[in-house]
Amino acid sequence: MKDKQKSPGDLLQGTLDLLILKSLARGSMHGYGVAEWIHQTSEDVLRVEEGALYPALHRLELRGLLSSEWGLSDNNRRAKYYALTAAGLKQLAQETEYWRRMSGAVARILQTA
Amino acid sequence: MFSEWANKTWLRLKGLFKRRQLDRDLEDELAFHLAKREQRNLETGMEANEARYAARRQFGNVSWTKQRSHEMWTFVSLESLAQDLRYALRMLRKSTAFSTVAILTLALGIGANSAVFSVVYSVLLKALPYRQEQRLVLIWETKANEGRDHNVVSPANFLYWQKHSTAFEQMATFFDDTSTLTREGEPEEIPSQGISTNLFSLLGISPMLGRDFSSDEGRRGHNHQVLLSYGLWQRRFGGDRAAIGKLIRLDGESFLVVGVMPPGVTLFASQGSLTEKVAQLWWPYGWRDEDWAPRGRWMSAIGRLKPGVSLTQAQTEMNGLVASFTKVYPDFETGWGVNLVPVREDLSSAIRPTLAVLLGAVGFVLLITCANVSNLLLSRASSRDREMAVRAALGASRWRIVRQSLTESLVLAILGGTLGILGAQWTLSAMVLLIPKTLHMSPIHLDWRMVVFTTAVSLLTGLTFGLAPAWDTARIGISDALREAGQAQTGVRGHHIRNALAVAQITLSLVLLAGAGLLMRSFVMLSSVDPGFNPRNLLTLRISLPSVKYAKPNQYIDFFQQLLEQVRTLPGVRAATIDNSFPLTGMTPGTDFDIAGKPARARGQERLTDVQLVGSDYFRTMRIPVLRGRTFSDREETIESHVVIVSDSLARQYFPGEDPLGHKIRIDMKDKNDFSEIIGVVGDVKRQGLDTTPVAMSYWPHAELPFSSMMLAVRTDGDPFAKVAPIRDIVHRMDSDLPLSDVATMDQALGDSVARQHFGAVLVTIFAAIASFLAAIGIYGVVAHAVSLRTREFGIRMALGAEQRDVWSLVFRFGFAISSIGVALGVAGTLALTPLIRGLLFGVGTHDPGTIAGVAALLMAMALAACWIPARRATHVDPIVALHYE
Repeated sequence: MKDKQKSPGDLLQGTLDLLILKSLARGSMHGYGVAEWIHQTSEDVLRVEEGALYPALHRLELRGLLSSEWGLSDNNRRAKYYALTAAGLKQLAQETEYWRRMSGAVARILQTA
Repeated sequence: MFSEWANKTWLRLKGLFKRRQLDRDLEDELAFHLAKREQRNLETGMEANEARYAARRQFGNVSWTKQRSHEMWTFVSLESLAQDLRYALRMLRKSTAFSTVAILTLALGIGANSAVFSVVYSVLLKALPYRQEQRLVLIWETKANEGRDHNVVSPANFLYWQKHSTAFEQMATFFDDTSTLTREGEPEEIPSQGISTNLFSLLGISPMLGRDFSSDEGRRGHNHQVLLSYGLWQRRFGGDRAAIGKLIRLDGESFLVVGVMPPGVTLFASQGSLTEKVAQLWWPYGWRDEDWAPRGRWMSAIGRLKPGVSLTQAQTEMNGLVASFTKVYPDFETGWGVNLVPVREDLSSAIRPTLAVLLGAVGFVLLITCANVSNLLLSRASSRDREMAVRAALGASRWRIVRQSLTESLVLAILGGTLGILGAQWTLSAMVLLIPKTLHMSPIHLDWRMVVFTTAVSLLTGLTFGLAPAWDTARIGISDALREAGQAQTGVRGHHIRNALAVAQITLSLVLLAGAGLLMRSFVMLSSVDPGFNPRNLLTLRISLPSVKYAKPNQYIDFFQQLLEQVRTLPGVRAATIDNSFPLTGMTPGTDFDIAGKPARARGQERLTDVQLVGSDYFRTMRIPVLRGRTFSDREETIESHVVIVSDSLARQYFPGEDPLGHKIRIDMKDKNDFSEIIGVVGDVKRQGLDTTPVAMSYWPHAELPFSSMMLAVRTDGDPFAKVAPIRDIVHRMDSDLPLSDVATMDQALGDSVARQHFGAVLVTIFAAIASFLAAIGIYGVVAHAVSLRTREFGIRMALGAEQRDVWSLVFRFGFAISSIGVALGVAGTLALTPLIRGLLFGVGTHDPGTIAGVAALLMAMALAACWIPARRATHVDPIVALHYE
C-alpha cells in the first residue's frame, strides 16, 4: 500500500482552481454549492473528492482572487459564501484563454494522429 | 505581486491572533458541507446512517483537509512548533523514568563540559588584561648544561639588552618581594613587587586612581612611592580615595601612595618568583650605577615586541646581544643564553597539560552522554512505532514526524542543559578549590560565554542523538509499521545501532577509567615519596626583620636566638629551629664552589650547590638523618666558624669514593669567601617537589651568613596551629611591629606541592566514574530492551522445559558479548592514547598492566551487574503471560 491520502482529487491543481473560479463567475456561492456545480456541469465526469475543494478555496482566498463572507443558507444555517474579486475575474479570463489554446492544440494533435 | 504578499501576510497575522476564531470557522464550514451532503443523500432515499457515512466518504479525509487549510491560514512553523513542544513535554511527563535518566545523563555530561570549559577558557583562552598581549614576551636566561631554560635575569644583562635591543618597543623588570606594613592597624607582611617604572605602561594598564610611577622615581633614593592593588586598597584602606597622597610605613620606611590599580591586575611568573605569591602592592626598583656590572641573577624581565617583529627575529637578535656581552664578562656569562617565551604560554605552562587531559576527558564524557541518550531514544522510538504509524496514517507528513522526534530530543537537551548549568556551577566551585592557587591568573567564574557554549553543546547533542531515532522512524513504511508494531521485528532494525552505541560507551569509559587509574596511581606514588624529612606536626612561619630597625647582622642572630629560646619553652613544643626557606616553600639560593686541594673546574662546568642557612637543632627538628660526622655546636651557631654540613648527593657527586669529612670547600656566596670545613653529611631532602631529584646541598649555620628574613619551624604535639597564638605573643613582646607571615604546616606545603597532580587525578577520576555509570546504564538499557523483545521467546522456551539457568545464561551471554567487545576495543584505545599523558605520570608506565587489567575487570563486572535485573526479569517470565504478550 502506498500513502493513504490521495492527491487532491484526481484533477490537476490548476484545473481545480479554474473550475472554482468558473463556478463563482455566476455569483457568490458556498463550498457545497461549488462542489455540486462541478458535479452537475461535468455530468459527474470530474470526480472531485469534496474535501480537496476547501484547501483550494482557502488558497484562492489568500491569494486575493476570492473574497468571503458569512451568511445564512436556505435552511438558516451559518455558511461561508465565496465571491470572485476583480483580480479573480481577471485570473479567470486569463486561465480560460490559456485552457482554450491548450485544449485546441491538444485536439489538433490528436486529430492528426 | 507585493499586494498579494501583503494581503497574505495580513490574513496570516490575523490568523495568528484569531486562531480560535479561524478554527471554529473552518469547523463550521466543513460541518455545513457534510450536513448538506447528508441531507441530499437522504433525499435520494438513503437510510440515515448510510447517508451520514456516504457524506463522509465523498468528502474524504476531514482532518487532512482541516490540517491543509489550517496550515494555509497560519504561520505553520510557529504554530506546529508550539504544538510539537506541548506534545513533547506531555510525552516526557508521561514516561518519568525515561525522562529522568535522559535528563540526568545530559545534565552530567553538559555540566562537566561547561565547568571544564570555563576553567580552560579562563586559564588558556581568555584575553589577559594587557594591551596586545600577543606581543608581550617574558625574557629568561638559560643555562643549557644544567637544563635551565627559565632562569631569572641579571640586572646588568637586562640593562645591556634594554640599551642595545631594537626588536622591542620597551623592556621592563619585576621581582616578587614582601613588604611589612605597619602603623595601619595589625602589622602585616604583604606580597609586593619591585618593578621598573615603565612596567605598567608596557603592559598597557593605567591606575584607576592617582598616577603611575614617573621615570625619575626609578633611581635609588628617589623610589619611595607605592601603587596599591585594588584588593589591598579595599582591605586595608577601606576603599578611601584619601589614601592617595598618604604616607604609609613599609619595612620601617615612609612610602607615598601615588595610585590604585584596577581590580585583577597581576603579573605573576611562577618560575621567577621568590615568594610564590601574587603581589598586592608595587614599588619602583631604584637602579644604581653598580647594576651595570654583572653580579647575581634575580629579576624577571618582560618585553613588548615592535609591530612586525617576529619572536624568531627577536630571539636571534637577543642571542647576538648575549654573545657580545659574554665577550665583555666571560666569567659571569659563559654558558648562559636567553629564552623568549610569549607571556600567555609562560603563565599557563604549568597547568596546560592537565587542562588538555581534562578537556579530553570531558569530551569523552559528552560522547558517552550522547550515545546513552541516543540509545534511550532509540529504544523508545521502537516501542512507539505504532504511534508513529498511526500519526502518519492520519496525515502527518514524514518531515513532521521527524521534526516531532527532533523536538523531543531538543526539549530533553535543553532541560538537561539547564540542569547542567546548575551542576556546572557546583563542579566549578569544586574545581576552583582543587586548582593550585598560584595557577589562578584571574578569578574563574561562569560567564555568559560559558552559558552560550553550554547551550550550543546541548543543542548539538540534541540534534546528534535526535537524528538516529528520527531517521529510524522516518524509514518505517506506514503499512509495515502498522502491521508489525509491537512485535519484535521492528526492534531488530534498531538493534545494531543500539548495540554499537553500547559497545562505544564501554570503549570510551574504559579509556577514561584507565587514564584516571594511571593518574591516581601516579598521585599515590608521588604522595608516598619520602621527602627526606618528617612533615607531620610541623608548623612553619616567616618573620622578616626590617632593615631600618635591624641594621647589623648581629641583631638578626640575636633576635632569632632569643626567639627560639622562648618558643622552645612553650608547652607542647618538642623542637624548634630556623631556616631561610623550608623544603617545598620557596626558592633556595644556589651558587658554585671550590674544593681545597682540587683544581677549579672550567667556566660553565663549575661545581654547584644550593645553600641553606639553618638554626640550632635543625636536623633534629626536621628529622633529617645525620649520615656521618656531627651537627653544629652552640658556639658554631652564634659565631662565624667556617663549618658546613653537606647533603648525601653533594658527597656522592663531588667526593665519589672518598670521605668528605675534613675536606674544605669555598662557597661563592659572600663578599669575601673563606673555606669551610665539612663536619657532617646528612640525608637528601626533596626541596623542589616530590617528583624532583634532590640537588647538592650545603647547610651553613645562620651565623655564617645572617639573613634578616627567616622561617621558624616548630615540631609540636597535636595540632600545630594551636601554637600560632602563643608564638605571635612572644614575637609581639619582642617587637610589636613584626608580623607573622606564611603561617602553614609542612603537611599543607606537601599537599600544595602535589596540588596539580591531585587536581588532575581527582577530576579525571570523577569524570571516569560518571562515564562508567553512564555506560552501565547504557548496557542495562540494551539488555533490558533485548529481554523485553524476547519475552515471548523466553516464555516459549520455559514452557518447553528450559531451566531458569538456561535463560540466565542466554541473557548474560548477550551482555557478555557486548561488554567484551567494548572492553577489547577500550584496551586497544587505551594503549594508543595513554602515551599522550606520559608527562603527567609519575612512577607508573603508560601501559601499566595492573591498572589496565584492573579497570577492564571493573568495567566488565559493572556491565555484567547491569545485566542482572533484566536477566532476573527474563527468568521470571510466566509462559502464559508471555504467550499473550502482544
